Amino acid sequence: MGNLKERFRSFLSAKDFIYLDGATGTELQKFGLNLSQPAEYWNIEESQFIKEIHLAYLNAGTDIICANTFGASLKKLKSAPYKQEEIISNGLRLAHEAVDESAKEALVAYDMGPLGELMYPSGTFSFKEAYQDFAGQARLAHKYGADLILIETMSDLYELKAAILASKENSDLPIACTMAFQTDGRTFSGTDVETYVNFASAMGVEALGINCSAGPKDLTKIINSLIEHSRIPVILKPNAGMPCPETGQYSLSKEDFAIEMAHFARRGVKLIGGCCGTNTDYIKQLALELDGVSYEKLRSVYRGNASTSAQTFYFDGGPYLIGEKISPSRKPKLQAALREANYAYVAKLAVDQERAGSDFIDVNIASPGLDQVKAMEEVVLNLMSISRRPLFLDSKDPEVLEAGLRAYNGKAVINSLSLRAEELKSILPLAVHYGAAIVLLPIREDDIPMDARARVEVLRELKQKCIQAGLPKEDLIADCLVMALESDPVAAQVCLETISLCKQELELKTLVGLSNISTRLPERAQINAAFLSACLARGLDFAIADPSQEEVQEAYIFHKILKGDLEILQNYASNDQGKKSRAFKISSQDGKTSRGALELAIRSGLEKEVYRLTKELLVIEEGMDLIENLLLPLLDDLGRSYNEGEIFLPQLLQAAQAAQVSLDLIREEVQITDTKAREDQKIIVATVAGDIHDIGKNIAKSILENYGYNLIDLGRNVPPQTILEAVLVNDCKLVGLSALMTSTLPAMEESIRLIKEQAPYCKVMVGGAVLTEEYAYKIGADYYCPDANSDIIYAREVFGQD
Amino acid sequence: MKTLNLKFNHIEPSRQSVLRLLGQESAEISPLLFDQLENAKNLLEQIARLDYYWSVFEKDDLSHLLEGQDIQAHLGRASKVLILATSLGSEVDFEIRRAQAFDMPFALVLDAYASVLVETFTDHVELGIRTYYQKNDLYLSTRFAPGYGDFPLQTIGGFLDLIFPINQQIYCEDNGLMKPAKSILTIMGLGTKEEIKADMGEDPCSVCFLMGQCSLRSRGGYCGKFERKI
Repeated sequence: MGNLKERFRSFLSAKDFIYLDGATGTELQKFGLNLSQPAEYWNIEESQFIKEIHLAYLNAGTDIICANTFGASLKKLKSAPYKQEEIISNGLRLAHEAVDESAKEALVAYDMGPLGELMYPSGTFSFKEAYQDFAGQARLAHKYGADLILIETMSDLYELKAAILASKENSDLPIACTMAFQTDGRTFSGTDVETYVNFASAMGVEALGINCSAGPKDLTKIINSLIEHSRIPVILKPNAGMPCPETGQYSLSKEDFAIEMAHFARRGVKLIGGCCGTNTDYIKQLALELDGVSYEKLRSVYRGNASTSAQTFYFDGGPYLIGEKISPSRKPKLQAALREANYAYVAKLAVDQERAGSDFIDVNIASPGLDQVKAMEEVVLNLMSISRRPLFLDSKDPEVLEAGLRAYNGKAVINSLSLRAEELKSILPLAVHYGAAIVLLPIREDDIPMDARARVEVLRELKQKCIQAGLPKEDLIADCLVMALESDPVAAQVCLETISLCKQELELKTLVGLSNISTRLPERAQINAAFLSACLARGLDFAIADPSQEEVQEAYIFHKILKGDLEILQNYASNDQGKKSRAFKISSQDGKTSRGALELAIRSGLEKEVYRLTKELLVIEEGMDLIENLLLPLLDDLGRSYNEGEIFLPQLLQAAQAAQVSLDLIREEVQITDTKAREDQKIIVATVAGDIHDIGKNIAKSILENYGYNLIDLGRNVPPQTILEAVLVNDCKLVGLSALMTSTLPAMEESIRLIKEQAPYCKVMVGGAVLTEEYAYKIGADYYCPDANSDIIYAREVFGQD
Repeated sequence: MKTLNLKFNHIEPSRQSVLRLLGQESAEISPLLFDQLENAKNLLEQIARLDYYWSVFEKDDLSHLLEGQDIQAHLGRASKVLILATSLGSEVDFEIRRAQAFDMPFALVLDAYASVLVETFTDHVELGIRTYYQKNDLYLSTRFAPGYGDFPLQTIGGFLDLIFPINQQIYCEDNGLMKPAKSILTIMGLGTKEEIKADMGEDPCSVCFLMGQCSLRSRGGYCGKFERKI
C-alpha cells in the first residue's frame, strides 16, 4: 500500500465530513470567461482568477480542492494554443498555492473529466484511445504533485474503467470517482447504481459517488442505493437543483441545498460538495448545516457478483446456467469463424444462448494456430456490443485472460485458477487488478484429486490464497470438477459430494461443467439433465451447460419451480415463455400442396411454420431437390418481386430469414455434400472505418446467406488494413463494403485501393445511402449495389450460377 | 418553466409514418408485420428514455456557431436563439444493434419505429415550448439544424457543448452524426412576432440537405418538417 493512499485514508478519517468544492466554470464566467473559451486556458491566461476561486472555496470550508483540469485531456485540448503539460502543471500549481496561502490542511485533486467522445460499441472511440489519454493525464498529475485523482462526471462505465486503469497503472495516487446519473437511476449509457458501486470498488478506488446530475432531493433513490451498497467512502456532489433553460439559474437556494445535502450526510455520505449552480456560499452553508453532526458509518453487506455494463448478477441469486457454446473444441464452424475474424458469428452464438436461457456466457477461444490474445479481445468487444450477459473468461493463458479482462466493460469472472504455482503467480494478480470474480479449480500442480475430501482441501487452500491477495470470499466460485462417467463411474457421486462439502465447510459458491459427465455416452442430453437435477438438489450455484438442450432447460426450470419461483411457475402454467407474437399456422390446404405450404410460409416469413413444414417435407423429399427446385427459385422470385416494387424490404427480409431456417435445417439433416465448395465461396462484408451504421451491411448479409455463400462479417468501423488482411488470409474473391456517411467514403476508397493493389483477384461491391453508381466506380469498386438484392447478381457473376 | 411534463403515453407515433419509412405506406400490412410493429412499440415503451434539453442564448453570444447564410436568414431579426436537443437514449441503439444479430426484419421495423418516435417526441416538445412562449407573446421560428442548407454539420458539437457543459447526454461523432442515433438537435429563433419569419418561403424543401434526392418527395410526399407556421 503506497504512502499516498494511507495518507488519503487518514485524511478522510480525521474528520466527520470532508468538504469538496462547488462549480468552477460558472464562477469563471462571472470573471468574464466567454462561452466559446475552455476554462483550462485560464490556468495560463488569467491565473489570478483561478487561484482566487480556489482560495474562496478553501475559506468557505473546502478540504479537497479540485484543480482546474476537468477538460485538460488531449482530446479536449486538440486545438488549444498551449501544451497540455503547461495547462496541467499550472492548474495544479495554482491549487497548491491556494492551499498554502489558506494555511489549511487541504488536499489538491487532479480533476479528471470525460473525454467528450462516445466509446465503442455505441460510438467509435476505442478503449485503448481513451486509456492513452487518461494515462498521459495521470502521469502529469503525479509529476506535478496532485494528492489524488478525482475522476468526475463519468456517464459511461467503460470510460470510467479506462480512467481508473490508466490512473492506477501510471501513478501511485489514490483514486476517487463520481458518475453522473439520470433521475431514473441509470447513467447515460445505462449503468445502474449497484453495478457502478460493485465495479468501481472492485477496481480499487478509495471513494466513490455521484456528481452533477440533478439536485440532491431529485437523486434520493440513487443516493440511497449508493449508501446501501457501498463499502467505501461515499461522495456526493450534485447540482443546485435544475437549471432554468432561459436564465441558466438553478432552482435551489444555498439554504435548501444545504438542508437536502445534510439529510444524506447524516445517512452515510463522507465527502460532500456541489456541482453546477453551486458556489462558495453553498459550501459555507453546508458546513454550517452539518456543524455538530457525526459521520454515520456504512453498513452494507457485500454479495458476490459479476456484471455487464448495465446490470449486476449476484451469485446468491442463482442457480445460473452458463452457456458453454463458445468453445471451439470439436466445433469446426466456430474454429473457422475465429480464424477468419468472423466475430459476428461468435457474438450471435452468445445471443442465441442468452435467448435460450443462459444467465452468463463462457468464452473459451483456445484453438491451435490462433492469435488468442487478439481473438479474445475482439470476441469480448463483439459480445459486449449485443449481449446482455456477463462473461466467464475461460483460459489458462494469462495474456489471453488479460486481453479479455481489459476489453470487458463490467465485472467479469475468470475461469479458472488452480493451485499450480505458475497460475497463482500470473492469474491471481489479474483478478485483483481488474476486480474480477474467479473460479477455483481443485487441482494441485499435476495432481487432480479423485475424491471429494481431497478436492475440498485444495479449494480451502486456494480460498485462503485469494483472500490473502485481497479478493472478497463472496467473489470465489468452487469448480467441483466433473469427470466423464465413461472413464470414472463414480465421477457424479464425487462431484455431488464435493458440492455438499464446499457448501458446508467452505461457504463457497459452486460450479460444474455439466456436459463433461456424459462425454462419449448416448443420450447425452438426458444424462446431463439428470445430473443437473442432482447437483441442483445439493445446492449447486452455476452449471456450465448447453442451454439449447431442452432436457437441460427443463431440469433447470423444474428445479426453480419446485424452489417456489412464482414467475417461472406462472410462465410455465400459461405456457407463455414470454413470447408475445401470435402463433401462425399454415396447412397444406393453404398452399395446395406441401411444397406450396412451405412456399407460402416462407413468403409470409413464418419461421416456426417453415421449420415444421421443412421437417415434414424432408421425410418424403430429397433435401437437395428442395433447395434447387423450391428454395432457390423462390428466393429469385422474391428478389424479382422486390426489384419490381411488388414487395418491400420488410417482406423481403422476413422471407429471407424464414428461408434461412429451411436451408439450415436441410443442410443439417441431409449433410449436404457441397460443404467444401460452399466454404470456398467466401464473401467478406464490412462497414468501413469511421462508420458504425451497419444495418445496410446486415441486410445484404441476410440475403447472401440465403444462397449458401460463406459470409465473413468483419463488423462495423473496420480499418482498411483489417479488410485487406481478411481478404488475404481467406483468399477471398468477393468483398462487400458499406458506408452511410460521406465522411467515411475515403475509408471505403482506401480499402478498395489496398485490395486492388495487393489482392487484384478480389472483386469489391459497395453500397450505402451516400453512394451513387458514378461515385462507386470512381473510387474503384467493381460493383455498385443500389438495393438489398443486387448483391446476388454480383455474387453469381463471381462464383458462377448454382 | 421547470418542465413540460411530457410522458411517453402522450406520444403516439403515426403508424403510417413508420410504414412510409419502411417504403410501404401503400401496401397491405401482413399479420407478421403488424406484430412486429406492436413488438417494436412495446419494446420502445420499455427502453426509450425520452429526454429533452433546451437552453436560450443571446444570438450575439453564438456568433462562433451560427455559420452560413441560411441560418442567419432563418433566424432573421430574432435576438435570441433557442437550442433544443431530444433523444431516445442509448438503450435504443443497443436494441436495434442487437436485433440485427437474430432478427433482421424486426431490426428494420424497430429502427423505423424509433426514428418516427423521436420525430414525434420532438414535435411534442417543440409544441410545448412554443405554447409556453406564446402566452408571453413571444414566438419561435420553425426548426432548423446543422446540415440544412449551408449551415455546417460540424457545428453540432459546439451546440451540444452549450447544452451539456458538464454532463454530456448526446454526442457528436467526427462524421457529424449524433449518438444516441435517435437524437435530434434543432435551432430556433425566439422573439416577438415581428422579429420571427413566418414561413420558409414557397418551397419548404429548398434548404433541406436531401433536396433533389429525397425518395419521399419523389413519390409526391412531404415529411412536413418545414411546413409548420407559427
